[in-house]
Amino acid sequence: MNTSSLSLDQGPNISVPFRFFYTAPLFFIFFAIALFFTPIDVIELRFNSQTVSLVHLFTLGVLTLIMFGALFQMLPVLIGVVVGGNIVVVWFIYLLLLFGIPLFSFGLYSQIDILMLIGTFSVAIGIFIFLVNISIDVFKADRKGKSVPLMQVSIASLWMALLLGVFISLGRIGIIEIESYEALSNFHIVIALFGWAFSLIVSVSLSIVPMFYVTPEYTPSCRRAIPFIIIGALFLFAVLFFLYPSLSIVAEFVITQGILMYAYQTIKRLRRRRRKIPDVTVSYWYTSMLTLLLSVIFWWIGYIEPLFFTLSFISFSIGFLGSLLQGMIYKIIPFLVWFHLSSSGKWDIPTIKEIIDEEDMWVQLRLYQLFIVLFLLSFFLPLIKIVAASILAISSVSLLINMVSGWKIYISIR
Amino acid sequence: MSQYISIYLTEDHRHCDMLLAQAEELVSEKKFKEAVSAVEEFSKAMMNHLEREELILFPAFEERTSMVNGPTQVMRMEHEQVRQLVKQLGEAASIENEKKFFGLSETLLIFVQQHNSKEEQMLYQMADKHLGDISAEIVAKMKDI
Repeated sequence: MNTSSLSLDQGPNISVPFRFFYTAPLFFIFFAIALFFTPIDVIELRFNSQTVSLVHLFTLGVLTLIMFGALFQMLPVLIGVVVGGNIVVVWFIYLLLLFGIPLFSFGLYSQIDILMLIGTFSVAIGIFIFLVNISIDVFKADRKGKSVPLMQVSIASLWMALLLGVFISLGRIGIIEIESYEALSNFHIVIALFGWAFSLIVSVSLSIVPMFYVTPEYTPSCRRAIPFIIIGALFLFAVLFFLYPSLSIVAEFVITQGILMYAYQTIKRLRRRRRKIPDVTVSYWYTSMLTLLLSVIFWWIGYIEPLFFTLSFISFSIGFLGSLLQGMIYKIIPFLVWFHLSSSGKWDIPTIKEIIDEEDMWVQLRLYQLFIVLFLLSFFLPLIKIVAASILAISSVSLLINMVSGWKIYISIR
Repeated sequence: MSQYISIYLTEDHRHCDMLLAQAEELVSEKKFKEAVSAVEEFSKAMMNHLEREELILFPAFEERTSMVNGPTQVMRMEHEQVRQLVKQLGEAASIENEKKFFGLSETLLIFVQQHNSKEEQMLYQMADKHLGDISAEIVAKMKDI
């Protein structure tokens, strides 16, 4: 059993998660700008360079940075593993991503191979170092922990998504030859979004939803069934992908079951939470769960009208993942500011609720919800896309301002 | 009965969570008189829980494992932070300062949850492992508080 997380250093230095968190809104702003200038009919083409660039600006620049920051902070509490203790390594990971993500995205967007190549390696090495740092401890963790099995699936999936991503990227540049680019890309998308991101979110949810909102616990059968379905679906998907690609719809059906069960169980718990007081992060969770359900509906409509596959992807990544991670940021930042101040012996400090203005967070949530709706509608009314991108830019600036207000409090008191 | 200590103390955590949620509900309904009593009930339950650990569990654990400056010391430090917050929460309820109350209750809840998580995921599991043969006796002593 790992007892190091209960040492006197109770978690990483505050700068470790904050570095990743505070950079994510900047990529959100870049994403909004790129979205503003990219025509909607280009975005509809899934494998177009500009679309792939936009996708990675969001998935790497926003989602991955927030998830890395959250993992550095939450692994000690959730599974008893301390990471982020070596500041030099954390800096290295951060700088490689900070340098590599814009280079990769810009290189892809403008089809400048050398930028894409440098960006690919920079991002890949950053993620590689992160994975090397946490993998051994995560895989050694006691599987009885609620979050451990899916955390392991998530980390294993990130390894696979990384290798596939580098392979596809090199193929795109022309360094190696890939026969089935689209099929491999589809595999990469499923492993990255469902294997890495979804598994991680579910793994964390099983612990933090009951903890933070005082809801009934996920029942033991549910805690066993959800990981079982997710792991089974990923395994089935991989087997069918390589042996019987035409039957991959079976894996999609199983994935749907996993998503529905998770969304239903989570919404049920949030509705039965004992803490009925208004909380912006609960609304973020509801937004996240509703867009997750919408992504499933869109996916199956996609078999009738293929445009809905794109809408499903947007609903899943921007709706479900984007909302949930912003909600988590609004929970984690105020807590960390308070925790680090109070742990240093200061008692005359603001409470968690006073660190970021509640009203400002509600405004930012409404802006983000409006953006999701308008962005989805813009595939039917292309002119709306400019409005959607503008609202996202305002929402992202607002997110950054809200986050900075927390940091200012920390700096002024520490 | 190897899981005895962890089950008993984890249930005690949930009991305290429920009492805090009840107090929050009463304040949100502006029933301040009842809320003050609810905070007192919560405070009593929480203080008892902390004493169960500090007076019974931690000394037994430290004696058995010789880990005196390890996890139990961190938990004791965090208990002091909990005590401080609970005291401030009671004051906010008694002066009917709703905003302050919810700020403190949110702070307390999040802080206590991460604290509980560390105890439940690690410390109690270690206690079950190292104190398994005397767990019934330890739980009986804790129940007396």
